[in-house]
Amino acid sequence: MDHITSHNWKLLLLAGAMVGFLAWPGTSEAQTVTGQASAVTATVLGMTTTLADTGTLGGTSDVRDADQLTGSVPSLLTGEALGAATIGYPDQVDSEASLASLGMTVAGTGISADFVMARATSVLGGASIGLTNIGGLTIDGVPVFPTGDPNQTISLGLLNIVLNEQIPSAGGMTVNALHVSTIDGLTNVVIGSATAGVSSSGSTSGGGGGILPPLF
Amino acid sequence: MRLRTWTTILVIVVAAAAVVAGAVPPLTVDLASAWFSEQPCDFLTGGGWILPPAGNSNGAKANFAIGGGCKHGSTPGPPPIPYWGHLNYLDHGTSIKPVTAPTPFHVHWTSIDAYVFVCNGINTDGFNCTGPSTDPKTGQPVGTREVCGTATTNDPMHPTVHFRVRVADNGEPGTSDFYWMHLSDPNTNMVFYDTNCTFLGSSTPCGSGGTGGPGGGNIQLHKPNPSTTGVMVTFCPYP
Repeated sequence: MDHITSHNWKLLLLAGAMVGFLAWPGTSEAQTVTGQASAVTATVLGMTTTLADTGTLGGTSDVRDADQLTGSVPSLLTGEALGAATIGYPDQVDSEASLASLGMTVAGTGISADFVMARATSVLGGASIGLTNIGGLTIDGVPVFPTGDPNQTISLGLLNIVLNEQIPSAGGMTVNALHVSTIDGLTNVVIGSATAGVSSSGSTSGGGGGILPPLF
Repeated sequence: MRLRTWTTILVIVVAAAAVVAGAVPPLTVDLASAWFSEQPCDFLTGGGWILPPAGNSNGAKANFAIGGGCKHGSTPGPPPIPYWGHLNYLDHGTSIKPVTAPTPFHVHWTSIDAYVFVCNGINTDGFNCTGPSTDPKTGQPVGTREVCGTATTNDPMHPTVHFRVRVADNGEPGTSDFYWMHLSDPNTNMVFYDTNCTFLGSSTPCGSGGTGGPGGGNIQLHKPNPSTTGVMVTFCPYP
């Protein structure tokens, strides 16, 4: 029968310490993430209304969503099945916003769509991805077919309409699926907005604020 | 004896490193939790529309927004810890809605009770399932999930219902993504509303070898994040 000697206990402690270090997150650069998504953001005469807005992402382990069965901005727009989500990761952010059965009138121009969705994904050290789904879009009853290209712009008298608007930012981008504004600046409506960004601060930190966990 | 001690230490270190690295599952197995999927819990988001079946929708759409996933220890229990997500659904048709329900028929979630891994491979029990695979266009995972929970409706005969939504992210551009929803009476456990499995933007059934529809929305799976502690299960508690 074997007996574990005092010397061997030290070896076991050493092995335990090695296991502890293996289990503890390695030193890594601290990441800063930005994420937000909203189904509707409408500003009319300086008054802003948001529908299904996630708010800002709280960090690399946060996930936020917002939803509404139906939503409306009086005298401006209606929509159904509004949803928005933003998800943080240590090295990535995913954001998405959508709504269906959009009906909107801006400066006398009717705009409708079966479905509108914006998505943005940013990966640390990689290119950001922006995607837009717009189905059944009509402007004053005339079907409009998105090209899929970023920042497709349609100018209609008093209106500027941008489809798949992609606005780069530090470490990421904002994707606005459908952005309608009047040239006088009094009305500004974004349908489906997704923001995702992740960047490294260049500093280093341990997984628990630099304090090693207890070994046992 | 010394050689045996070093060998023991080496085994401990290697085994622990393998567990930490996720190369092997923990050895602690609870038979009572055998319906828990071994896949790490993730997230699902999406929205869009379908044309409910029965050939009587007259082009009337059913719009939806869906989300699901684990957050901070989600489990069906006991004790249950809620899952993350949402469901909103509006059916503008009359083909399958309850006769007592107004048009449009509304469904709005109140709780998310389970998030289900659905195996697309040979093994349908969620264990040893092939995948998950990745969409090369987005780098995101693809696959099928179910979101199960409780909802309210505007049907006076079914003010509270259980829902079971099966959705699939089959990659971009979403034309092969599908939506399938059951609503059941929580008192009788009987399904009274069934969209059938339908590709987005269509009434095309997703079975029968169908490969997709024209597209009308998108379902997106997202990889786990540090908050997704909890378990995906292998079947929905509701019919």
